[in-house]
Amino acid sequence: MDPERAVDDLRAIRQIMERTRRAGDAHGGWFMILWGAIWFVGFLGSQFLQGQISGWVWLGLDVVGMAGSVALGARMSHRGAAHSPLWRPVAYWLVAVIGFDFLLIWLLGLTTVREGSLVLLLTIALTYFQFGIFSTWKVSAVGAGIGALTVLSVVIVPDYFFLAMAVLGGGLLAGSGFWFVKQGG
Amino acid sequence: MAELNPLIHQPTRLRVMAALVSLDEGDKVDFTFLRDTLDVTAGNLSIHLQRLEEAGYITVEKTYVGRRPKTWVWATTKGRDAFAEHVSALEEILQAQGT
Repeated sequence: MDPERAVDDLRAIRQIMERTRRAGDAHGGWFMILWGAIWFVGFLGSQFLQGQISGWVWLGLDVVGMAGSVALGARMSHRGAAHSPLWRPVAYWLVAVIGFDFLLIWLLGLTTVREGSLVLLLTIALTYFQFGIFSTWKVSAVGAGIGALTVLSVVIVPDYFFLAMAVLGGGLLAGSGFWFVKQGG
Repeated sequence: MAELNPLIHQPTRLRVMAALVSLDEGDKVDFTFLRDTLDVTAGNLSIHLQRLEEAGYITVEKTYVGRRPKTWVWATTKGRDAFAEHVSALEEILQAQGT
């Protein structure tokens, strides 16, 4: 075989493998954009609205987020996205972890919105980090970033914690999502 | 010494196998996703998928999502092994040439 053809074949293999992986990452990017936008609006509400009103805003946003996630999943399925057997157990696991968080918040008697948000945010950061271990390190990096921002915000600017999470946390999530989509496009 | 695989050697089939092998084991892709990623026509892709399936290198599963037909494709262990050997053979050709 002509060595030049071998070089071309190996180059084609590398390009296709990279393109396929990036296309898979791009699908996750849309979920990040959706939830980044939800964090932005929700945490702005937590910062500037009264507690009860903010709670209702979050409830509405969570419903929108879950419905949007299901719609995105269905749309990608119809458009022919790659399908991983990991997604179903990951979805069940996320629901179980969030349920565990609320149980923990209740049992520990965490009464302020900030305490509850901290538990949820750090759990979400850990979940991203763990999911990245099984998919791509870039998702783990997003998880580490969310965790670091959460800790830094509550320590450095406790009075503006929600504002910081809206701008930096939501921005990191949505920005990472845009990056994943752009890479896969 | 690894040997070139004449079935995988064909350019489109080489790219099909590269796409499928890049997924984790157990993952599968939809026919449309594969067609768009490889930028080939549906007819051309179908022919090559059939050849690879006959060799036992891939599995093709036709299902329905609602009323829509959906075709899933994934690489078998035999296909992954054959592809790995083909890549090794390509690398050996370059090593022999000192490239």
